[in-house]
Order: sequence, then C-alpha cells, then structure tokens
Amino acid sequence: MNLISSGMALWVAAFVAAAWAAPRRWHPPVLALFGMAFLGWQDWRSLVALSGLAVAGHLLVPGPGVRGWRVAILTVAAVALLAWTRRVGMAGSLLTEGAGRNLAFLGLSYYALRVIHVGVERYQDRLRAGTFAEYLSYLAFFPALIAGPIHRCREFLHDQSRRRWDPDLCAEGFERILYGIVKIVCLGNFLVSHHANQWLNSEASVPDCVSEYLSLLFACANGYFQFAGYSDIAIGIGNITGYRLPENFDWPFLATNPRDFWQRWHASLSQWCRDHVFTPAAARFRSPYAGVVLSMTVLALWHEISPRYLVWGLWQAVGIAAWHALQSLKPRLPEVRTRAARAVLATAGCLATVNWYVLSYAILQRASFAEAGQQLLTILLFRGGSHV
Amino acid sequence: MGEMPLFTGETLAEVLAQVRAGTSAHKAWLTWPLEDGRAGAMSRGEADSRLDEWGRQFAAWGLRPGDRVLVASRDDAAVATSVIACFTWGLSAAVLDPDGTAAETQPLIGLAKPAAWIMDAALVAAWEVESVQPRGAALTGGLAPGQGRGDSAPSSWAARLLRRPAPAAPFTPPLPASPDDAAEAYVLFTSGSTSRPKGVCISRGALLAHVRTLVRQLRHDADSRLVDPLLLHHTDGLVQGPVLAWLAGATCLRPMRFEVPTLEEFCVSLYRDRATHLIAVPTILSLILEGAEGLADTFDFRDFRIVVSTGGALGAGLWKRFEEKFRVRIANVYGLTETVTGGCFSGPDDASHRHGTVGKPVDCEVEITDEAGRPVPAGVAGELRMKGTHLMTGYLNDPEATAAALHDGWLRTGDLATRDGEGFVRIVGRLKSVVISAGQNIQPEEVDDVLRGVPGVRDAATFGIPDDRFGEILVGCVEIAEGSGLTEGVLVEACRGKISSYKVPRSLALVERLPRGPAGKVEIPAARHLFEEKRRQATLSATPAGGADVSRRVLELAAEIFHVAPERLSVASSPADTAGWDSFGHLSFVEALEHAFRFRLSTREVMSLKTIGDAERLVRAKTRPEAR
Repeated sequence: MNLISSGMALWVAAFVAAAWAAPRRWHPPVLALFGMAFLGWQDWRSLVALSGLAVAGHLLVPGPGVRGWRVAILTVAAVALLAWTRRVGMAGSLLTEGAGRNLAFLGLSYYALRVIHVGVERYQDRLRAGTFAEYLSYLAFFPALIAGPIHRCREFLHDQSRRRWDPDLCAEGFERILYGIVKIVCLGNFLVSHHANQWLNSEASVPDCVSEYLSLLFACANGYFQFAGYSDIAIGIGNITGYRLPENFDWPFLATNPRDFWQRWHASLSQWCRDHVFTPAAARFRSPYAGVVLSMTVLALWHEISPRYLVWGLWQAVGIAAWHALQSLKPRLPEVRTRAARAVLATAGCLATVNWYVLSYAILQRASFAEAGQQLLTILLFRGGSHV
Repeated sequence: MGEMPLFTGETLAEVLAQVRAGTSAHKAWLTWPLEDGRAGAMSRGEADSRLDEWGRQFAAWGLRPGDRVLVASRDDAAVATSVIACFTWGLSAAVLDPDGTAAETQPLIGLAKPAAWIMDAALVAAWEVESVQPRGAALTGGLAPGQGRGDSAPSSWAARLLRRPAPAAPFTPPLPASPDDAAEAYVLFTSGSTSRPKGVCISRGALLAHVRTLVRQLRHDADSRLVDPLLLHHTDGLVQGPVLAWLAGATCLRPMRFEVPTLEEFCVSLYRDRATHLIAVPTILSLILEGAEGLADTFDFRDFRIVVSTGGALGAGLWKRFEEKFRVRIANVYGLTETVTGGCFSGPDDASHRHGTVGKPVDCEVEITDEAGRPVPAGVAGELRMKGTHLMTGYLNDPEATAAALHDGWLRTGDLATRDGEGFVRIVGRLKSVVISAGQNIQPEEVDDVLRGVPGVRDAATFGIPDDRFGEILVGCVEIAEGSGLTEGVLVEACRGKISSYKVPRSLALVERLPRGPAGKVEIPAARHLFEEKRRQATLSATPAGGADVSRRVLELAAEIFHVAPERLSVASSPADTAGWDSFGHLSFVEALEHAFRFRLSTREVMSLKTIGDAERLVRAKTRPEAR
C-alpha cells in the first residue's frame, strides 16, 4: 500500500481530529477503535487476525504476576502467526507488502512483537494491569501500525496520561513529517532509486568492482531513506497527537562499531531483540555470544524466513561478536592518547562498520549465495573491467 | 505586561490592593487535592469573594487590626484563603499542624492567645479550642460554613468557560486598611531548643521583602505556575506556595499529596499542568530520582524553569545526579522559619550555583562567627548569622528565646558553616540538637520526654543520623529497667498518639546504661556510637549482607563493570543513562553480582534487572537466610 497518498493523508487528519476530540477518559477506546477501523477498511482479514491476537493476549496475560506458561503460549501463538505468513510469502506490514495479497495481515510484523513485549513485561511484573481499551490502543496505535516503530507499552501509557496540547511538540511533529516525506520521495525514490541507479546503469566506464559496490550502497541508502522516512512520519503523527514514539534511525552511517550501528539502525527492533532475545539467551547460556547469534537470527528472520536472511543475520552477528572480542583485547593494546589518533580510529571504525553492513546486502540482493559470493569477490578483489 | 504590583507597592496592604485590582478574576490561583482524590480549583475571582466573606465574618466577630486568628485545616484551600484573608484585613494568622495531637497543640493555642479561630470541626473538638476562645468558625468539610465546597477542576475548556465566576461585587473593608508593615503577618510554630516549641512571628514588612527576593531570585512572574506539595503549616509550603502565588499574580498548583504510590502521577502532572517551578524538600527530589525509570521527561518541556530545593540539606550527590538525569537546574535555598524561608541561594543563576553549598546571601548579609561572636577567616567553621529585612520580629511571648536568637539585628541560625574566598557558604554542621527529617523539624528533647514517660524506661536519648532519602532520621538509645519486658516495638507504639507520626523514632536501641559524662548528662556522641554498634550487630545477625553494605557493594560492582565513578550512580541508574551498561555489560554485571554474593540468578531475574535498585532488591532477596 502506498503510505504517501491523499487517502492516507485523510486517515491521518481523521486520526488527529479523533485523538484531540475525545475526552481524556474516552481517549484509549477511541484510539483502539480508530486503529481497528483502519485495519478493517484496508483488509477485514487483518482486522480479524490482529483483534484475535489482542483478545488472546488480554485473556492470557491480563496483568502482572502471570504464570510463565501463559506468556509462552501467547508468544508461540504470535510467532506462529507471524512465521506462517512469512513462510508462505504473504506477510503484511513491511513497506513493500500489504493489503491486496491473499491473507496479508497488515501491521502484523510490528503488532506481534508488541503483543509479546506486553506479555513478557507483565510476566516480569514491570507493567501494570490495564483495561482492554488501553491495551488495544497501544497495539493498534495508528501512527505506528503499518511501519513501526516498535514502541514500548509503559512509555506509551505514560504518554497517554501525560499528553496535553503542546505547540512545540506539534510543530516538531509537522517538521518530522516533512523530513520523512523528503527522505522517501526526494532522496529515496527520486535521487537514489531513480537518478543514481539510472546513472550507474548508463555509465559504462565504471569498473566492475566500483559498480557492484555502488549498487549495494544505493540499495542500502534507499532502504535507509524509506524506513527512516516512514519512521519520521510515524513519530511526527505521534507528536501531533501528544505522543513521543522512540527514534528508529539515528544517523546509523556515523556508527563507529557494529554494536553502535544496531543501536542506530532500526533501533526499536534491535532493542526489542536485545530485551526479549539477547538478555534471556545470554542469561540462560551465560554467554553473550550465544545471545548475539540468537538475537541477530531472530532479527533477520523477522524480515523474512529464508536461508538468505538467516545467513544475513549470522553475518551481522559475526560483526558484533568480532567487535566485542576486539574489546577484550583492548587492555593489552597500547593506549590511544592523541586526539588525532582517536579521530583516525573512529573514522576507520565508521568505514569498517558501514561497509560491513553495505556488503551484507549482497546476500539479500542476489538470487543465490553463489552470485552473492561472486559479487563480494568482485568488490573485495578490486576486479576491473566495465559493465554494460 | 507592566511591572508587578509586588515591586511597585510600598506596603503589603498596597500590594494586596493592587493585586486585587490588577489581576484578572478568571485567572487560576490555587488547585488543591480534594478528599475524593480529584483536584479542586479556585480562580482569583472566587478567592476574592471568599476573602470578602471572611472580612464580613471578622467584622462580625469584632476583630481589630493586629488580632491573631488560629488557622488549622486539612483543606488546603481553607488554610490558604484564611491566611490571605488575614493579610488582607490586617490580622495575623497563626497556622497550626492539623495532624498535631491535643497534647502538642493545646500549649500552642495557649501561647498564641487567639482572638478567633478557623478550624476543621473535628479539630475544634479534639483540641478543645472553645475552652480557650469561643469565637471561631468550624469548617465542616468545605471552606467555611455557608461558603460552599471547593469545586472540582473542570475537565475541558468548555466546562471551564461555563464555570467562569461572576465578577466580584465591590466590597467595603469592614476593618481599617493599610496597617503598619511592622505589624505581625503570621506565626508559624517550630521546634525550640528545648522540648517547648516556639512561635515564629513574621511581620508584614519582612514577608513582603522576602517574597520580593524569592520572586526575583527564583524567576517568578505572573505566568508562574508553581507546584508546591509541601505542608501549609510550614513556611516553605505556605509562603513559597499560595502566598507567593497570590502576591505575584501567579498560580499555585497542589494537585495531590506527594506520596510514593502516586509518584508517577505527580510527575506527570508537572507537564500536564504546565508547571514552571517545583518547590520540594530534598527527600521528594530523592524519591523522584529513585522512581525515575520512565520519568526522565518529567521536566523536559519549555514552560518549566527551576526546581527549588528547600527545607533541608541538599546533598551534592543527589543534586548532581538529579540535574544530570532530568537536565534541569536546581536552586538550593537555605533559610529558616525565622528568615521567612530563605536567605542564601545557590542558583539558579550560574554565579551563585555551586553543588554542595548554599550559595550566597541575597538581599541580606551573613557572617560566620566564633563562640565569642567574632568573625572567623574564610574556610574556618563557625556559627552562621544572618541580617536583613526578612528576619522574624521574635518568638511569640518568649523574650528570653528572642534575645538569645536576635542580637543587634543579627539572627543566630544555630548552623555551623564555612565561607570560601569567593563567598560561597557551605553548611557543615549544627549547633542545635534539632533533627531535620524530610523537611520537618524534630526536637529530640520532646521525644525523649515521651519515652521517659513509658513505664520501665529509665532514660532516653534520641538524635539524628544521616539518611540518603530523608536527609536525617531520628533514632536513639533507651535505657530500660531490668525485667521491664519492653521492646523496640512497644516503645515506638507508646510514642504514637502522643507525638505526631513524623516525630516517632525510626529505630531505637535498648541499652542497659546510657553513656554519661562526669555531671551525669548523657553524652550524645557516645550514645550515637553505641547505637551504631547495636545496629551493626543486629544487621550482622539478621542477614549475611546487611542493608547499607549491599547498596555500597552493588554500586561498587556497577562502577567497576561499567567503568563509571560510583558517585555518578544511584538506585535509579539504568542502561539508558549509564555509559558502559550495554548488553554485554549487563551480563558481566550479573556475573559480578553472582560471584560477589554467591548466588545464581534465574533467566527471569536477569531479565527483570533494569536498574541498580533492581540489583539491590535481587541481592537482598537472594541473600535472605530463608532464600539460601
């Protein structure tokens, strides 16, 4: 579905009006109903699936202090629904997918993670019991329904009780929406997808290694502009209605190491994986490396259940693990004293981190592992020749 | 906006008249908590009407300027309007603690010699005030008989519009206006140097002078929306709250009682109500900091200006951590009930803001003197004395105590202080025995008297010890007769009902003999040492890892693992605000805790560990004898 459209603009306007018109105590049910109405309007099957998951979540994990098996059943149900739609290639909600396909459950990718998050938080006695309306208003919060971010329930409810008309926040919201549109339309669609790729395809004199590298870089940049742009729009709509959604992309290409990168790139997803996969896995196995491998695997398979995403996740895990292994060697290495040396190291770290991520796109872009390997060899061995 | 009446009026009467004439009747003055949990709201127009009603009542009672009116109520609006009415009609208000026991309060009523009283009906009966003064108004759940109840806060702009008050009818004062500014404005009661409390008399001129200082120094104006949850029978609650708001044309917000279970709601209300100032004692700041998970945005909005810490010593650690966590400036105010409320200010301006100090005197002079009253050199400790227009006129009907405290216009504060070369004053100790716990003054001698009255108690000595949350807590040693069968619980229970709950000792050590000097007087330093020793022994026998030891060790481990200074950490520290507390560091911290305290955390427990406070709780739970 096209999120930059006049139809969506009308939905946004209606949402803002509904959010401010509702008296404080009617605010949660109004938000919940609006989210569900949007789902139903777009695709009734998504409405049925997502509301079913919400009812199951509220019945199984109604408040703090629940037994572990209830959370386990809920988690299995959410993951199974998500995996099933992913496996049969019809997962809804990622930007390139959505209504119009058979059984495409709109918003499920983010929604399912929110359901699991609430279950785990209540299991840990860290989230108070709330009404079903509050719960559903969180799960189906319109600005974050289609493209995230995966915001946290406690912060959401905090905002819900705190919100008031705030001109500064509202102005910030409009600004963020504008940034988002510029990122998606001008930078992503027009500059990178259209102009840069057109230039690359028409420029015959570019050596193969450069051309292959640039094609990955452009794909990566386009992905950034699209997802960061939609996150900006979601945050902006949230701000206009008095909510503060978490930042999802924080200048990731300035990250100086892989850990830093994943705190900046799709941060709400990587933080979800940290809290719900890494920490329990690392605690269970008493190994941070086990935690990293498992969490990056989950993060990758969340995008798509396929061998290529599995390998892509392991690639990211190797990057993080290698950086941490390097940290353990740090005390034995000479101390970096001068500012210039620190700047050189930071720049080198930044280039290495970004390129580690850019090169991983070969796994996603190519049809097979063999082709991806060929592409990487071409780049890394500086193979010459020109493409046509 | 023109200049505030506060700075143009010569006398309090002029300022009050200008405020009344120049402030919109629709503007909100006060919100306060109602018994049903909602908040009442009063506009200036409504308040004006109530002041007029009180004026008529005062005239009907035949009161004259300078007469004293006792005020005591659990209804904040009743106290605030009564006090402002007294100021307006030239009377003096003596404000009492509505939670005081009859034994505590009756001597104060006798001391005050009131011409009338305004009190909750329940207090009239409990304190038998009518036997002293038959003239008064018994409040039966509202502001006053026939004056209606506090309205609940309208929930929407439409409701607010519909509830706009009618303009107040012109009112001719029944009492002569413009009394002399040397006349008494109010009396507040404070702990004395003995078990006998003292009434601090503040003149109208001193009040006006100091409110002007507060307004200028703490950046108040008519747009201020100050949140002050402190008690109204304390100067910081009364003067820095509704009184300052009334005189400055500002709004005082008291949305709810400050309690730990409603901490989050309280913090949320700051943003929702567009607060500009929070007036709080250090204990409140400590509780906000401890409960700060998810509340980091509490002060993060454009309207908010300053947190004002008052009513007790603000530790440098708490001060720094609070400012760092919430990215807000704290102004630390030092003063006494005898100085209206302040005198020295550390902040909010950069020039006077220095952690660990009370800053510099504003609109007054200070000097630090030795026992003979001679000024001491910079850096040398001595007694802090203060001189200015904001000092009390004296203690109520107590010329002896007044003469001891006031000499040649200088007030002896009873606090030990140093002053550095740049003029920053630092409080380093106290000459008086008074204990300040959560902003409330406790006189140990008063508690000692109560304990001595328990059958089986030979003698008692209570004193303050430092406490991270309350600043100080009252503890003590009690010498009991052999075979008396007394326990700490029995003694604490015996105190309840005789003294206010905040004065009840937190911990008592039962001893065979109190340490005494040659003259037979109890030596407090030795008693303090004895108490610490008894407590240490009790802690060691109760848990393998005692309270303070656990906190310190957990902080040390966190500091070591995350490579940060221990003083930068608190129980509220979390991965979000602690450099080095990343996913890997989290596991290292868990393993360090397990190794240091010899237990193993389950996966669920590791996942639930989100703050240093969580770690402390886990360690305590896992090291309890029954958990082993």
